Amino acid sequence: MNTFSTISSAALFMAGLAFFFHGLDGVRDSLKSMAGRTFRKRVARLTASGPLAAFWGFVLGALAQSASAASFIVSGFVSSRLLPLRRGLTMVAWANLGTVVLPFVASFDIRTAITLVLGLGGLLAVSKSGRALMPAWRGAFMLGLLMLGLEFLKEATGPIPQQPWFREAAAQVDQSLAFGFLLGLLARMVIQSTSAIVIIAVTLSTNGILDTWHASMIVHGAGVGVGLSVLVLGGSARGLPRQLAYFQAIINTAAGALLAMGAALSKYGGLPNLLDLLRSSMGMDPSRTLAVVFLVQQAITVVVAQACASRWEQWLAWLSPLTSAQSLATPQFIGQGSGMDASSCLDLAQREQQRIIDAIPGLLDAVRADGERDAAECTRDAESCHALGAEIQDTLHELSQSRLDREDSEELLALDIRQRTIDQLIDELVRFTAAVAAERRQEQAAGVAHGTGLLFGMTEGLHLVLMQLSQATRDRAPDDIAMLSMIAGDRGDLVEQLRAEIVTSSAAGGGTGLQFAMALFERSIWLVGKLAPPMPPEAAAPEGTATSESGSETLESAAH
Amino acid sequence: MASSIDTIPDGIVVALSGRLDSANSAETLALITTAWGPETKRVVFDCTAVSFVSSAGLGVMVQAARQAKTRGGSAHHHAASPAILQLLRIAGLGAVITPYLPAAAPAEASASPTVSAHG
Repeated sequence: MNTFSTISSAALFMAGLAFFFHGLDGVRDSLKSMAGRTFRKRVARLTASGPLAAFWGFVLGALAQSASAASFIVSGFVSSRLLPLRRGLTMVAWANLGTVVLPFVASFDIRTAITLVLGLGGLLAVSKSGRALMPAWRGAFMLGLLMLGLEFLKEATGPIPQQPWFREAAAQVDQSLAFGFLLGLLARMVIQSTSAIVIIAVTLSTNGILDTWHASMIVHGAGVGVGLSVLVLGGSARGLPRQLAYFQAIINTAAGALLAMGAALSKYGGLPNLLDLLRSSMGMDPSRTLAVVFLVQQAITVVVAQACASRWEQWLAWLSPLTSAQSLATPQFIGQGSGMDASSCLDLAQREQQRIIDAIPGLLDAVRADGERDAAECTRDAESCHALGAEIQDTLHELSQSRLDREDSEELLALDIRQRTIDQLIDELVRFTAAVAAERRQEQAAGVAHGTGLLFGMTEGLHLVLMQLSQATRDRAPDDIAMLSMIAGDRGDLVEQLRAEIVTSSAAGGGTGLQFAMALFERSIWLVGKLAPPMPPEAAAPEGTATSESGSETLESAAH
Repeated sequence: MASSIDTIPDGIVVALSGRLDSANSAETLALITTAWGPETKRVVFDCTAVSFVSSAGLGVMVQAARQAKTRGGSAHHHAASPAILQLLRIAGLGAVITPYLPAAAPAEASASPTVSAHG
């Protein structure tokens, strides 16, 4: 390999990694945008049972021709709550088997398929028509980018087996089974395609560089390499995506290690083995023998996955606990509602809604003086609040299809309206946080501090109101509700006065960002007012009688 | 945080100093609750030495105001800086924590301290 081709391969490898990671992020983002009720229902219907999930996993593996790519695609679905973890695990396990079958039955040009997905998805994504399907087209384009990244990685590492140093290293494999195993493991980490490594092993075996024993050890090592490469490529992922990566790593390592141990025991212990069985009973040549070894290895991943099917979720949660954002997005109450009466289901939906309200004050953390989370974490929390909100809306929608009495119907409607208001509040808070951060940056760059105090006051004041909302809706104590009504009351006069001050203190044309932040602040407070729970009837005393024992005005009467 | 709590005829004066934020809000609230007697109806926050109040600090004031109002009393601030006054107004606390009338200024009205020297 000359210098030019080395640089060219290195550049291709780098581009492959860049395409892969950008594609991976893009697929996840698109799936999140698509995670509406209709798409969620469609995915749920397609993967409604274990066998259906297995079928689609198998198809995915066959089309992607890469266990790593299939893992990351399924991980996107699971992270977006489009697919339950259990179904995702089944799909990943069967995708391993899918990667084997297609090269056996057909000559499938993956490169043409990738180009088609990239071209079609990319063109449709930039076209003006079909805006509703935009996230799907963008997702297809990003999927193409991810697959092209993997192709680039394969292409960049493709010439390696032709290199004299590799052949020399491969010849050393003949000295030791363990070395073959290690070579397969390392090769899979770099080449990103087990099928490609099987072909390399077949070539080395056919050319007489390796015997079938040692070539099969390369295939077994590649199995362990699949798991390690998924863990390495998904390095920054936490919680659910990490759980899937661990799962893929464990089942592939188990399959590879099991067959490698079997091969070693047969070689040195004289026990009957798979290779001899294939050669003697079926009269297979070395290349076909290795292909069947690969098939058996992938089938073992499925067996390992199915054998412990009921325990995986528990083990994986221990290995990689959910992040706080993922926990927030996971329903804790509404899932228990099946088989319950409508009133109980509505009560569970209300409790689930309270979880969102309790999390809302934290969305301001990125711009608060006492904030514990950064902007990225706040964004993830906002997405989780929306995801949980979508689950609540789904539950309410399903409940609305059943027969409800008048009281339950009214409560369902109130919860539905409330959920929409909560979603609006979350959006306003996200925009408010961004506006405050942008204004602070701008003031810092200009070396002025016109709005520092006002921005601080709005942020801390809004946080206080949100905390009070959480407390009042959770405890429903009349005093808390009354206090909320007072502090979330109309600020029209104050805001007008502050606006005038901004205009006076800012230079001509300045203060626009500050005005915008104030508009968002005002609207957020108004939305909080809409979410304030009603005063319990027993606490709402008739007008003129709302006095305490000592005759002074009470908090409730002040609020009224 | 609360550096001292003094009593006045029908209430308490909480002398705040330095920062009142999440680092010391729970401690300050506990201190106020401890000082709260059966006759206490008014709570006055002496803000002379306060340099910073966050939403957690405002939360302490709201809790104390809630406690006072439940007993038919009231909550007040004294010697608050323009920045703190603006914060109270923006937070919607203008009508909840009102200015303390100078007729009974906290320093003059204080009898013997009940809880003191914290932070």
